[in-house]
Amino acid sequence: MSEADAFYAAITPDTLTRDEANVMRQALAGMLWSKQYFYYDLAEWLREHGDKPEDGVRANVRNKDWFHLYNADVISMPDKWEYPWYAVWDLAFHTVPLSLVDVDFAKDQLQLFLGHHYLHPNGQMPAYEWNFSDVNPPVHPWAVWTVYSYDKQLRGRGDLAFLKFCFEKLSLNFTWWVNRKDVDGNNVFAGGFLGLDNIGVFDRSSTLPTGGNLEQSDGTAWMAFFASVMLQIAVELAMEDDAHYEAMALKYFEHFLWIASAMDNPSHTGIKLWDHYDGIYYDVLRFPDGNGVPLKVRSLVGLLPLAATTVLPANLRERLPRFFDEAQWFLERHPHTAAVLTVPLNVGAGGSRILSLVNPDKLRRILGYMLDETEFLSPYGIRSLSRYHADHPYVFSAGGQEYAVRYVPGDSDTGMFGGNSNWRGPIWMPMQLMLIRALVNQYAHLGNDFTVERLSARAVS
Amino acid sequence: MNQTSEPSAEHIRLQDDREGRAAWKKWGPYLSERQWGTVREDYSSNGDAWNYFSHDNAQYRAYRWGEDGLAGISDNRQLLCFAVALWNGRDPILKERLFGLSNSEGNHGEDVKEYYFYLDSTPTHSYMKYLYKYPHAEYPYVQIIEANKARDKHAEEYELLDTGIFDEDRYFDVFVEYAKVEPEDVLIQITVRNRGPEPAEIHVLPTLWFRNTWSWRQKEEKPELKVLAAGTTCEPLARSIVSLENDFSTATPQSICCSLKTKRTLSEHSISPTHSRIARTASFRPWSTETRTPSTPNRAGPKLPPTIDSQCQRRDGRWFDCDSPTNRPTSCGLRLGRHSTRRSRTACRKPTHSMRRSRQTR
Repeated sequence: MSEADAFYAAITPDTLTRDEANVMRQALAGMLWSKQYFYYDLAEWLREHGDKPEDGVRANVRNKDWFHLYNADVISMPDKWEYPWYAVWDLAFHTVPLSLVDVDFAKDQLQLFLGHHYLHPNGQMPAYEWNFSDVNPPVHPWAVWTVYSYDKQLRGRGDLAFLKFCFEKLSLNFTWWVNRKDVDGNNVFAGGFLGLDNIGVFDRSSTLPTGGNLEQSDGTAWMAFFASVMLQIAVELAMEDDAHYEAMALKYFEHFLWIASAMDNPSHTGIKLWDHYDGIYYDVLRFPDGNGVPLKVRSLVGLLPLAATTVLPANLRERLPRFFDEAQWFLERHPHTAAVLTVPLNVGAGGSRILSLVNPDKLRRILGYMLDETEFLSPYGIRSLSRYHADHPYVFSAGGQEYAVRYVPGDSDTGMFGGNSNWRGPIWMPMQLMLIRALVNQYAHLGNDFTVERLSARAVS
Repeated sequence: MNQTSEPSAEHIRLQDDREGRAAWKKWGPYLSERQWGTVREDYSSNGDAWNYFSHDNAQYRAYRWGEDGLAGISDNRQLLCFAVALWNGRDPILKERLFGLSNSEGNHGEDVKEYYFYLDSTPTHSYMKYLYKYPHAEYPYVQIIEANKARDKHAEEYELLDTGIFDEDRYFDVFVEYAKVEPEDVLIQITVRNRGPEPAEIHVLPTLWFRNTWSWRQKEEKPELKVLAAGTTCEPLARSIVSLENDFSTATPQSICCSLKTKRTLSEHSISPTHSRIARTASFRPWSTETRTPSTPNRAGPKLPPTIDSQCQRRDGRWFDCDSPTNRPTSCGLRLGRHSTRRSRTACRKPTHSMRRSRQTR
């Protein structure tokens, strides 16, 4: 007990009150108690379900495309009763608080899921046992970078072997996304539910009642986010380890710009994900005949592009001149890409270079919704769906049926994804982290001069 | 932060573990709280994982891919598990695992219907503390299922507190603490405190068992559990001996060992396994008196006869039986570890089966 006290005394900030320190300790106890031995040998399990690929017999059974998977490890679980199996994006989030108490465990967990017993030969990460082929948002690279940075700060020297291993494996995963989830090859991504269960008008993982497909703002923003963090890692590796990572930095820089500009280009439907009139991003439903319509639901899907905001070192030009020159040349050749976002060629008033999907104008317009108490801002954080939809449910008619999205702040009132979680109002903590990080990064660039007005519910009424 | 020049003892353990000097993370809270209703255990033809293996089934069916329990721990390959089982003398079944509704039973999907708290843990699990709140009265399994069934998606969930079972604080606080003397020497303290106005009956069964690794393939070696006579010293058998011994307690325990049922018994009781499995019986349970024979709670299910085979066992339970007075803690202490030279009551031999070694990813 006294040794446990001493340990927590050493890692608890002095600024916390006794109560707050206790909350922190018990929250971490919850994380640590939620480790679980997870055993799942797919080859054996599939065989026991009648699958015999060697005889040409494939059983029609769940997860049959994951025959390579062999899990027999202690893993951080979302919840050992309600969710006693891993979920790959939850896991990435877990590693951040866990790194406060055991950075080695956090690093081991991140590497585990990129190892050959987990990562599919095609580069996909397993989502969770209900359907390993489902797609979770790619937050793994962000967790790798965050845990690496914390470890570097803690020990005075970054674990480059860890960073390189993860970077190489994540490159396979990035390529999987590009080849599988960009339906038309135009840098606009789908991905299905992307972890946000019932946030959409339809079940985003199923066949649409209208036919056609969804062009997803969040899928596309997550990929821009993925590219920007890979750029950040490549820059670190180029500076700290080997200059040949400069080429990878350029690859991810250019890829980011292609994705970013695609969000602002009319796609095949003639409609942009960025709705210039409303000043927010929407998913676009594309019908089989090629026409499209924006699904005007104000949700996290529309705020997520903010998350793709990354700080690059101020001395980038001096340290990586080749990267810098090539990036500049690329932007000169493709001026339309640079026009819609913030590029790292300039140091802002805040003293930093950033790469961001949104320029200051878009940032201001999105924050107009995010910081409005009648929309997203609640006393406890940013809602997953705008409160506007309490009185103005979004209704979409297709095939004689009406699909509605209504602001529902408590339990889910739909059966989508088991009906156990709800993205139509509740505040999701990891998303707060993503949005706060984005604002901090914007501030590092824009400085004190950039201000927005916050609308309170009272002022509006 | 209060950064002192001296690293804390726990920081040293973390470093020793990282550098391979001592496997401080080998034992930890790696036991799940729910193995039933998972995809891994689902051998149905329609992929209905929740209904193929229910909470009710978990009493008498062996799991294929993992184990669960209350406040439990295991090694990092989950060969050997330890958890606490409880009985208030009224429930039709032992409280061996957390109860909750399956996805189709809850009006908002699956939901655990218990109160338990992770109070403390260090990162190497050198110290851990857990709290479970166990009602004096018969646990309202059926009431919770029925009340939730009657509600729709627009109503709130019906919770355990709503049943009134905790009124007047008629429950036990059961604290479970673990402290490691060495990486493989774990002290266990279970403290029961009756919060109610009157004394109440409680049975505490700290339980040690093996995950079933031997029924799924031929020629897998079975592990063994043995009760050694009191007073004898447990000789370490090479590196394969692990002992669970009584360290201290305010009640005198009785040791109960049990074996597991075979799949033949299972089919005789008309559960239809699509896969060969082994049923875990009720045989280690301390209900030899006829007046207290628990049965499966209000649902169709087999009641398997206890068989106790003192020679070769897979599961060991200590039975601490007491009337818990109001607000005075009752404790029992155990010690789980290798290389013990203390008085020992149970020893178990770990199998040298062919399961692959725990892998490092790097």
